[in-house]
Amino acid sequence: MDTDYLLNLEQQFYQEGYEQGSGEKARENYIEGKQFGLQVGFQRFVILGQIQGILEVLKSSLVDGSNILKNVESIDRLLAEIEMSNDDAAVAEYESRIVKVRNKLRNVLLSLHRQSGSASGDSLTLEDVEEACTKVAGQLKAYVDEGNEEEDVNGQDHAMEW
Amino acid sequence: MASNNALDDVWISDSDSHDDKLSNDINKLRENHLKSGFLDGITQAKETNLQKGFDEGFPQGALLGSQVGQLLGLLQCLDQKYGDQDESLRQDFNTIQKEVRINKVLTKGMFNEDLNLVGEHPLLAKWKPIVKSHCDKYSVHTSV
Repeated sequence: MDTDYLLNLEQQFYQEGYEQGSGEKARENYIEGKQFGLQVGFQRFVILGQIQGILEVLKSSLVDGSNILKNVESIDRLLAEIEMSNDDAAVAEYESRIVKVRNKLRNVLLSLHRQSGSASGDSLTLEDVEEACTKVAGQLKAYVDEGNEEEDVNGQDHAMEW
Repeated sequence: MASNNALDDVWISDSDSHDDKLSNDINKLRENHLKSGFLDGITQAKETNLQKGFDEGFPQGALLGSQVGQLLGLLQCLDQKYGDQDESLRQDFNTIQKEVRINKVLTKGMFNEDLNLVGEHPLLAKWKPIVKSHCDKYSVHTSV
């Protein structure tokens, strides 16, 4: 018996334990991760679909070639380029595009408001849009650190109960 | 290294029952390494499986979210334009905001055991034709 043999043995025991440990709760953890992924994906994309729907309605009454229509079309292009993926590049892209989309939409809605004249009162604002989005998607401030599993009173920043 | 003691024990051991001692030491060695392997395995696999689940769930949730959002946005904008004169439109806009809330869409009963949808989500199936009929009424072209 030599040192190599013993080291090998150690490695073998460790490996044996490692494999047993890996199988433990594998499915539960996968499902738990999937629930959370579904939740976060949902929360991040409601606003994009909502804006797409709003633009579809706006387009129906905009004049061809108008500046507002051009701005609407540029928002359309930004929306079309956002990937529904969670990889780092896609997330960074999402963050930068969502800011532009919001700003452009705000301008479009303001232009429409001005165009229709202040007398017509209640035209749609970005705040209305965000309020309806929050009702449906809940609050999402940031990703949750995986290690942090304490309950959140709000239940929105964290994985919700299914 | 954790293995030093175990190694020393094996080599220094001088007792009469040398074989017993050896087998004891090996057992101890096995136990220790099995245990640390097991713990590392659990930790590593937990992260891997959580991440794998998250990465698969995210695009599905994103698609659902954007579909739900589109219906919401269509009704919201139509309601803002025509809701004052169209009671059923206003009512649908109020109702959809309650019915497609995240906790109603993401409910175990609407998914299979792997958390995949079987066919179209029931709430989308319900709301698509409703929203479409409002769009048709006001000549709004939509991809819904």
